Order: sequence, then C-alpha cells, then structure tokens
Amino acid sequence: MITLNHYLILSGCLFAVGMYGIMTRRNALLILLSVELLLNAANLSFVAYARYRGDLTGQVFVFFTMVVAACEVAIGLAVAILLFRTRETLNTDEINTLKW
Amino acid sequence: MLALGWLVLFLPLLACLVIAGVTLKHEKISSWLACGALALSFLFSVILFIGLAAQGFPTLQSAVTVLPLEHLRLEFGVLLDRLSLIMLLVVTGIGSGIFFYSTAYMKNDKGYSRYFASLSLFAFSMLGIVVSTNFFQTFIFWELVGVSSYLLIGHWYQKDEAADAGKKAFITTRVGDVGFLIGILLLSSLAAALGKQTLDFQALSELLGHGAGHESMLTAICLLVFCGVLGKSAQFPLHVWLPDAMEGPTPVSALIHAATMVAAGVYLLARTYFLFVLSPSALSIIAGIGGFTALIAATMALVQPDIKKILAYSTLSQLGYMVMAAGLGSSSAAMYHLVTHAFFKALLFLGAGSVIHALHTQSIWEMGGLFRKMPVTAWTFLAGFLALAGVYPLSGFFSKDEILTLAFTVNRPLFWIGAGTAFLTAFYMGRLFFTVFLSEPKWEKEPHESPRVMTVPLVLLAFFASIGGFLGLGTFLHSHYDLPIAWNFSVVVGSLALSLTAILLSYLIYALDIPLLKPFEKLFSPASGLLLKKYYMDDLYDALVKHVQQNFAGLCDLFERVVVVKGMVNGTAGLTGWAGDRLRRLQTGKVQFYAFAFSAGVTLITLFWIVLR
Amino acid sequence: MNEVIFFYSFAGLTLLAALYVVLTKNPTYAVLSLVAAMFSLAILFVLLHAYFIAVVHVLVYAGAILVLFLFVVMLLGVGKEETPGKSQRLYRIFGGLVVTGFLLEIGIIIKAVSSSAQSPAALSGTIEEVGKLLFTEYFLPFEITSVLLLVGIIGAVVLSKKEEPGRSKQMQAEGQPRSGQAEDL
Repeated sequence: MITLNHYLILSGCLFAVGMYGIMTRRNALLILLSVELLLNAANLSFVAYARYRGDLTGQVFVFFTMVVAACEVAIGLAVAILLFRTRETLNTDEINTLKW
Repeated sequence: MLALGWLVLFLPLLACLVIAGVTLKHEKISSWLACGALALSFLFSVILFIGLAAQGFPTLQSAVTVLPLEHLRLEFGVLLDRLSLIMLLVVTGIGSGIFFYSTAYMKNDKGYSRYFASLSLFAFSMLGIVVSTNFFQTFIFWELVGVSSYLLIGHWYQKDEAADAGKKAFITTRVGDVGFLIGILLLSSLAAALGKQTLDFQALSELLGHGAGHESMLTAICLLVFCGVLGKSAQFPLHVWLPDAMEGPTPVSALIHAATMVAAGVYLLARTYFLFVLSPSALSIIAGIGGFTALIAATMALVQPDIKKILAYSTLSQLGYMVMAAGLGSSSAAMYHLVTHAFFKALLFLGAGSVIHALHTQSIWEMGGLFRKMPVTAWTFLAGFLALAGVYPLSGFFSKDEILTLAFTVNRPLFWIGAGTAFLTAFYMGRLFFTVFLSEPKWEKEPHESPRVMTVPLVLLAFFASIGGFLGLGTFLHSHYDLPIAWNFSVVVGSLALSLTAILLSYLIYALDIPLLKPFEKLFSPASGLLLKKYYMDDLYDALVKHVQQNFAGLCDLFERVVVVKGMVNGTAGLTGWAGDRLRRLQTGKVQFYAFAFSAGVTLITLFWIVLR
Repeated sequence: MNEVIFFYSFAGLTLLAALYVVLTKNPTYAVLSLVAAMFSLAILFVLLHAYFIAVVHVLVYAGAILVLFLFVVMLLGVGKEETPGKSQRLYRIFGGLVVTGFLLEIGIIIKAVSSSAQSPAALSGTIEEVGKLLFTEYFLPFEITSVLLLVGIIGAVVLSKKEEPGRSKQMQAEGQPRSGQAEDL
C-alpha cells in the first residue's frame, strides 16, 4: 500500500537534492535548474495531498505554481543573459562585486 | 490672625528680592527696605502675641500643599503657638535691633546693599524654621539658613579667610544635615507603619503619643535628627565652624551666631520634643554631648586673644548648656536659656562691635581703659557680662540655675560639669571685661563712643537681659513633656558663689594685674598650647580630608576613568566596531555562500522547532 | 500491486534523474536529465489521479521551460564545469551535511504528523473538474496569474534589450538578444 507518507518522503528527497544543487553548482543557469527541482518537489506534495484528502484544491495550486515558475524562468534567464553579456562569465565565484 | 503670620514670614523675603533685583546701587533705600520689613514683621509679631494672648494662646496652624505625592503631602505652613510666638518675638525683635545697628556699623562698606539683601534672606529663612509645621519645611529652611549664613560669613569674600570660613560653616553643617535627612526619611516610614504617613508635627505628636513601641528605630531617628542639631548648633564634634565664622561682620555674628541661627537646633529639639521623650537613651546621649561641648568650649575660651573668638566659644558653651537641658528632660529650660542667651549674647557681640568700630582692632591686649571713654558701651557690656556669668538678679542667673538644678536632681556627674563650666564662664568673661574696660590703656588713637543708632539697641538689649528673669518665661514655655523643676536652695547659692569667686579672681588677675597666675604659668603653657590649637580638632579634620577623603575621591575617579569610561563606554564602542568588522566578512558576494547560509538556517530552525515540540 | 511497482520504479527514476541533474559536469546533460525527471513526475501525477495536471506539467515544464533552458545553454555556449577547487570541496561537504540534516528532519516531521488520511480518497482529476474549480472558486487568482504572465513577458523583453543609443528601435524589431558579444557597460 502506497500511503501519503511515501509521496511526502519522495518530495522531501527531491527538495533535498534541489538544495544540494543550489549550494554546489557554480553556473548560474544550473542553479536556476536546481530551483526548478525544488518547485517540482513542492508540486508533488501538493498533488499527493489532493489525492489523499479528496480535495482538488491541491491540483489547482499546482497549476498556479507552474505559471509562476514559468514566469520566473523567463525572467531569470533574461537576467542570466544580461549577466553573461556584461561579465562574459556565468561562474558565480567570479560574480562577487557585492563583496565587502 | 494667621494671615499676619504669613506676612511676618514673607516680608523679609520681599525685601531681599527687591534689594537684590532693583536697589543694589541705592544703599540708603536698601537698608531702609530691610530694616523696615523686619520692623514691620516685629510689629505684626507683637500684634499676634497680644491677640492670641487674649484668646489664651490656642494653637493655630495653616498649611499649603507644595508637593502632593501619592502617599505623602509636602507642605509649607505657619504654626502659631506659645513656642513659635516667643521665638518670633525674639527673632524679629533682636533682628530689627541688629538691622538698625548695621546701618551705622557697615557704613562705607562696598557690599552694603548685598549685606542687607543677605540679612533679609536670613531673616526669611529663620522665620521659616520658626513657624514651620512639618519636618520637610524645617529641612528646606534649615538649608536656606545655611546658605544665608554662608553668604554672610563670606561677606568680605575678597579676604581668603572669610571665604574659607563660609565654606567651612556650610560644609560642616551639611555633614550634620545628612543625618538629619536620613532621620526624617526614617521617621516618615515609621509614621507610615504606624498608620499615617505624614511629616506634620501636630499629626506626628498624636501618632506617637499613643505609645509607639519600635524602641530602637525611635532611638535611631532621634539620634539622626540630633545630627542636624549637632551641625547647626555647633555641638561636638561639628563645633569647628563657629569660631571661624567670626570672620563675618560683627552684627552678623550677633544675629546669626549668637541669638538665632545656632539656636535653631535647640528650637528644633523643643519643637519635636514629643519624639525625643520616647527614647531615653537618645536623651542621655544628647545630654552628655551638650555637657561635654559646654566644658571644652569654656576651656578654649580661656586663652583666646580675639574678643569675638572669646564670645564665639562662649556661645558654644552656652549652646551646650541648652542641649544638655533638653537631654536632661526639660525643653522649657532649654528654651528659657535660649531666650535669655539671645538677649545677652547679642548684647555682648554688639558691644564688642562697638569697641571694634572705635579701636579698629579685635585683640583684647590692644584695648583697655575703655570704661571712661565709652560709658554706654561699658555699662551695657557689664550687664551682658553679669547675665552670662549668672549673677542675680540678671536673666542669665535664672535660666542657668534652672538647668543646674535639673542636672543636680537627674544626673549628678553632668551637674558637676555644668558647675565647673559656670566657674570657667565667669572667669573668662571677667578676663574679657576687665582687660578691655578696666586695665591700662594700650591704644594710641583716642576712641569715641559709638553713634546713637548703635548704642540704642545696646541699651534695649541690656534692659531685657536684666529684667528677663522676671518675665515668667519658664512657666510660659512649659510643655507637658517636661520634667518639673523645683528650686533647690543649695544649688542656687552654690552656683552664685562660684560665679562671684571666679569674677573676683579674674578681677584680681586682669584688672589689678596681681601676678596670681605666676606660679602656675609653667603648668599652663603646654595646656594653653593645646587649648589654642582647639585640641587639634581642626588638624584632625584637615588630616581626615587630606588623607581619607582625597584618597577615596581619587579611587572613585580612577574607577570612573577606567571601569566606566574606558571599560564600559569605550569598550562598548570598541566591541561594536570589532563585531562589525568580523561580521562583514559574511558578505562574501557569492551566491553559493548565501544559498548555503540560507539552507543551513532553515535546517537549524526546523531543528529547534522539532526539539521544542 | 501495480500501483506499488509503478510508484517505486518511477520514484526511483525521478530521484536518479534529479541526482544526475545536480551532479553532472555537462550542463546540457543536466537539462536533459531534468526533462527525464519531469516525465517521470508526470507519471507519478497520473498515478495520483491528477490527469490534467500531468499533461500540463509535461507541456509547460518539459515542453517550454526546459526547452528554453536548452536554448540558452546552447546560445551561451556554456562549457563543462571546471574541476572543483578547495573551496568547492568545503561547499560539497557542508552542503551534504546540511542536506542530510534536512532529510532527517523531514523524516521526523512526517512521522510526527502522520494523519489519518493514509488511504486515498475518491478523486477525479479530470480537466472538467479542475476547470470547474478554477473558474469559480479560484477565479481571482486565475486572472491575476494572467497579469503575472504579462509582466513576465514584458520583463523578459525589456531586460534583454541592448542598451545602445540609436539602435533601440532596431532592437525592438528584432526582438532577439544579440548575445555572445561582449558589451562594455
């Protein structure tokens, strides 16, 4: 029997992987990619709850999340391109002018 | 009736303010203002006395709340009963006389108007103590009197000794006032414990009259309040300022340091006697201190060459008598002596002023043979001298004998001290009188009798000093807390004999110049050294200040500079700067690091949350 | 029974793909493995009776977003990542610690808040049902998201314009950023 907890644990693992990705990756684009993973982990848990509680609200929420994610990616990529234009690099180690 | 009381109190203040604000340049107007105001106060006091006499001397009181605190009302008021009326008459009466005397004495002085402004301020402050209805008001005016005294002692402030003497007086009395204030605070909390938190005299006497218990607390309060008396009435060990206060003008010495301000302590004792009778141990300590002061002051007067200093030590001694009387059980005896002393001491000081004014010297060894040249001064001075020595029928005899009789019956050792002091008193006063008036003249410039405005007060005071004993003051001032005093024939005769013997001795030695003292001279010189040095008390205080206080102050300064400023203030700033410097390294500018910090933070918070559940 | 097999296999696939996204050195492979992850997630959604959501998921994520990613990756010519230096090691170690801690916490929390809803309830996740909810109860958020999309579009265009005087009109017509060229800004 697959219970709610299974899905939740899976969602948690995905989230953890996404976090690891953010912390570890040096390329700006790949960081954005890891953020997508986070979002999807959340989506999964929403859908799981919707199923196990019999309430469609969860799915509606996933819908909205996806819309937001799409916008965020669009703008994020635009920023990444701008960054590349000005600095010629996407390596976050070298983009540190906010340093003290 | 009470309105007159308020007027009596505030007229001198008005005069002071007007003089200080408006008429500083107009000397004549200033002096008229001051004298007029106080004379008017005297007139009102007389009217009050007669008016209330007709009603059988009821107790009238009216007060204005100055500071309504939550549990305690601080008031200023006017209290008119037998005690305050007598004191009012004394202060305004003798005060007026001295004010008029000063117009001539202080002529050609550069600070003429300032002098009268300070005098008026003093009159206001003293009257405030006299009519006070509660401890708070007494304390405030107590301090004011101290300020006025400082101003007046240091009137010739360009002279270093005068400025120093003013400071010494103020600081020494302040030491006593600390005890006084603590006593007042303790009393107020005791009153609260007993039911009603008040500082009003009438209310407190009722509250404490119902048998209060709290023996040790009451004794402590009595002794602390007595600290104020120690300072203001110059008892041992705070007596050191009074001789130095002679740097001030002589009328000031007469008014403040003979008749009124120093008597304020005794007045306080009488006014709050309901409190002191509750603690017999405190009373015996008070009596002891009084007697001791009387004796040592008399010994120090024996060797002084300065006429004013002799009188100052004499004042110390007589104040000791008054305090002793209160300690022995009779506030009316103390007050009786206070009144008679006011008359003859003021007289003696004014007479001394007259002599100083004529000869421009204060040393008795530079005077002599003044009896022929200044007859009015001489005769009035004689009256004062005999009154102080306690010779019948002058007033001093009656008041001093009451005290001696009281001591005889209650506390025999103190009686012997009192008797011994009486002998010494008569002796040194004889020394003074015979040297100044009846010995061979040692002056060069011919002295003249003083102007009328100076001799008239002398005559008036001499009159009262002479007949004062027959006014029935003792019974008038009797309160139900006092021990009754019955005449003891042997005491009376004995003391009279003592005084007369002393006078005779001093006559022989100083007027006729018989070398009776010659064989004792070798014995006397080390003793007189000790006496002239005032038993090294001033040196003791000086050493205390120099070594104890200065070092302690240095320690406090060190503490403040190092711990407070360097440590806490600078330290806090430094710590903030250092922390800031360290913390800014968190801003690495790297997204990775921020993401890491972010996640770590979330994890930690969740951890806390889990743990707390 | 079927459900169990499907769940475990596709859950495992998702996890593997996600790990590959995070660990691989080649960015193109990363994007592609995320696509794979999206697909298996969609299958999991279907398992959960969320049919509409599954389809939209594939359409939007795999079909649009990740394609865009791929475009950009290829456009910018992002090469392989360099070998990690010393500081990178630190991040990996501490990152791993944090992540493990996080996982444990999630486990504890899930165990603690086990609710009674362990057996699936009846649900119909068809487009009709979801649409009904969307257009009645959640109508306002729906409209607001459309505004959000508009903002996104405008933002993307504005951000990627080149800031050169005189050429702005030309840029608007082209609509495509000229990347690969360094600009001195």
